[in-house]
Amino acid sequence: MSRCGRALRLLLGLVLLGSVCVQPRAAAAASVVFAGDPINPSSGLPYEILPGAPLVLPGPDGVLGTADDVVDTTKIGDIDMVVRSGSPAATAILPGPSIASGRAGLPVGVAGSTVAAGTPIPFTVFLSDGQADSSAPSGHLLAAADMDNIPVIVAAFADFDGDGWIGPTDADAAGARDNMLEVRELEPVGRAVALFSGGVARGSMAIQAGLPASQGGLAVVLCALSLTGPFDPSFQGGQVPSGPAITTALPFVPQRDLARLLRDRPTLVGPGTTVQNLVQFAALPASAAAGLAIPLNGSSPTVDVALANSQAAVGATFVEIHRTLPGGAPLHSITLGQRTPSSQRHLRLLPADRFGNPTDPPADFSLLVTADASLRITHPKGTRKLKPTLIKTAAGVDVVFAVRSGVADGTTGRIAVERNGGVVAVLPFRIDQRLGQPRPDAHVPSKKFKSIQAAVDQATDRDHNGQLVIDVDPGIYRENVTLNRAVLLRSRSADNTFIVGNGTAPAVTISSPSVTMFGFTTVGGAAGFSVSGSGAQLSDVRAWMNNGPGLAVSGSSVSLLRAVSQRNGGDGLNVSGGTADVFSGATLVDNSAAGATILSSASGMIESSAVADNATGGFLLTAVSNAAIADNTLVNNIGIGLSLDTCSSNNITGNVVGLNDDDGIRMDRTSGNLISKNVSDTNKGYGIFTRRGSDDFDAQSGVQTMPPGDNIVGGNRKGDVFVRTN
Amino acid sequence: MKDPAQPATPGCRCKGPSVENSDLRQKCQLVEGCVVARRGALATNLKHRKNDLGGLAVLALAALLAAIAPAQAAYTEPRLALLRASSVHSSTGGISVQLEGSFSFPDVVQLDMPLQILVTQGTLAARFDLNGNVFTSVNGGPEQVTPGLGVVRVAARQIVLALPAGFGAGAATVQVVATYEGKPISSNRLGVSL
Repeated sequence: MSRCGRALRLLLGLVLLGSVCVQPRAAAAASVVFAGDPINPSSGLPYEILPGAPLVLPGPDGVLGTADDVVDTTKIGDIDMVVRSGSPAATAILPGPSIASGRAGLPVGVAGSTVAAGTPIPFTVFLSDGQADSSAPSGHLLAAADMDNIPVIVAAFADFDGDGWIGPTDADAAGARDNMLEVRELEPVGRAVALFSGGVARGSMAIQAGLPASQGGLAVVLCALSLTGPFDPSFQGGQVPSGPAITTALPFVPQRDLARLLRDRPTLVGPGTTVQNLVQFAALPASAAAGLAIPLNGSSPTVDVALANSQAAVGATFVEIHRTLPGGAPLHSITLGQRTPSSQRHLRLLPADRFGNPTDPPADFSLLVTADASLRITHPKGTRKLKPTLIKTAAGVDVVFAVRSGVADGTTGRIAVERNGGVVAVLPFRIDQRLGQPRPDAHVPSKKFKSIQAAVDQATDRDHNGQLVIDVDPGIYRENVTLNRAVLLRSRSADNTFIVGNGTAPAVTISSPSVTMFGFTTVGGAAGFSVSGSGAQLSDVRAWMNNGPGLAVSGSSVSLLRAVSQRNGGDGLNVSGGTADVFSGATLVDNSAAGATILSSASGMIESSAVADNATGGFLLTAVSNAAIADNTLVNNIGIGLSLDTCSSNNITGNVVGLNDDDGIRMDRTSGNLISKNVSDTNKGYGIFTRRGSDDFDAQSGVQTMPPGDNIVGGNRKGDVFVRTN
Repeated sequence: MKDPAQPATPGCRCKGPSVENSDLRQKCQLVEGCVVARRGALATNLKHRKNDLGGLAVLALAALLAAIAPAQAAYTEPRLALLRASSVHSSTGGISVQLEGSFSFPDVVQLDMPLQILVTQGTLAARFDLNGNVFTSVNGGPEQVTPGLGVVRVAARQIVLALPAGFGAGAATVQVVATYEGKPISSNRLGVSL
């Protein structure tokens, strides 16, 4: 195995970080780095506690990062390990953070890997004896022999909003108002691995984010995580150290649920396993006030700061303009209403490098913004005449879009940014008449309604238009919301409006008929959205890192548009018993179970959805009838791409099914289904497998019972078609 | 019961040329599996023509092509799954392609994993790397460095690239290939209408 490959394999240590809490290991002698640390009486091993932070344990839901986490303030973590930017010498008294001397001496990298014109940032990790005092604030070097050749993972987190903190915090100038914007700082922007030798590990790390050099670059905090030894052949095949974890400060409590961390792999650890999702946070910290946010001023002794400049400008990116808050994230799409003010959108166009980082433009950097006919560009003026705008600085230019009168509800289109005759950025837009109309009856948060649930329970139809409308500001709402009355609940964007559940109940429960909801992200619920009310309409919602399914639907005539369900502990979408449900444009990826499991449903439709990287299959349909499954892409799932079990009279058309770990399309005891114009290729099993079925595989030449008919199959490992009659 | 080792209908079936089938035809022509299936058919035919040296040469060429083609495994680690592909034209006729997928972006970018994007339209093929380089070839001939913007955006689930001159309206296919431990790993191929 190559050295690089070995290092990548060793990164697996992080996957298993902290797994002792739910995956007891055979008690081994704890590393000397734990000397004096509190012991978990149930395992006999040291607790895993972030330095300077209290012990956090999962609550009744067994999962960290949900609102029921238990905090034990009687046990505070000490210093086991520190990371420093650059390559300081290994001295008996550990050096302090480089940032303590100011930004001028910090290492400076360039965004991107070495194979993409980037410059990595050097780092050094030291083991500490934890004996910190005023003369040795980080403790003393601990040359623990039992840690030699043990991998340590170093991760970088970026201060995107420039507030001097990593992660949501109320301690910055904006207080709690910008916490939702700081959530994205919890995703690492760089990762690397190094091996300990004599208590020291050195390496370098590529950073994917950056800011213009003219602005001093992007400050990133380097954190470290490591399992302690030894390598035990009975534990994960000896590929992963078997002792408890040590960490520097982190802006979150790391995930400890082994099943959630490894769900995207066919086996726990094996030769084919790589570094996928090795550093992922455990949903949101229990509270922004909990103190896990990391300051960049050098006062956090276990971590350090480096700087990352963006690359040269090649394209552009749009960001939202917040009147009072800095650091808006790049926009991926926008929605506009039909009437002012929602029919206008004021954005900022920034010159960007290949990774979307804002950057300094060269002297002649001009961009032309164009849009489909349904939008007017009211600023800059010259764009109407296809005159490019010169971008002089990294601050970019403001661009204002307005919906033309008469444009229909539901219209979609694209804003394009051109440079040198090529399109360098695309921003899809959509017109939604519900945006801003009708006027809201209640607003959250407000003096009267501090929570979403309070508004749902108490708000009245003030304007007597027959519809209760509640507007929710961007923010992090730690509550489980039950919508038990007809209501229109709307926010501006799921990107910055989070409902954080307690892990034991769905984050959002819709039990009433005629609920409409759009623009929310659910995190940490037993399910993300649980919909039993008929006629519910959800659009542009996101279910993310919930304990169970992202979207659970049992009501009828439910409409779900452009939903994203990602990294949930169950199915991306679970449908049971409903009729005439419509799911369109969904993205169902990286969930612990199937992309979608549909049971005993009739007359529904799933179309134009992307289904990938799910742990037990793409679409799994059982006893489903008269449904349309059309134009979906089901790829790279572990399990069957599209499975039909005892299903009848469905139209399965135009789907692309590939790279799945089992059959592409598998049918068992099916009848009367039309399986037409699908592509099933490069799956591990058969392209089309049918058993005891009587279906039509061709839309045009009468009933053709033998596959592939007008479907396209090829390159499937077991074979392209297999038919069993018994 | 049929023998699972012998597919009921070997190879691809491409119907058309109705309008709605044109994209499928394009996919069929370019889907790796179809090529494999045709190679298989060729091999079967050659079993009965052992003395046909010309045929053997073709077979050897086919085997060589198979050997140098990127490994396309069912379920890739790292992830390289293409989910959606669309194109957009500039006011001057330039074409860009927007890809959505699951790219293991952190692995690729943070761990120095080389990544390339392949776009094919008819006999014209273009290869893009993350340094902004663009290489084109015609009919499988030698690659040439081609001026152009190349990859203009790589994000967690999105890649945007500006195609060089030569690509025009019509069907094309896209594929992403990463190099992991010295071996190429390929995504699925997606059709895109330029």
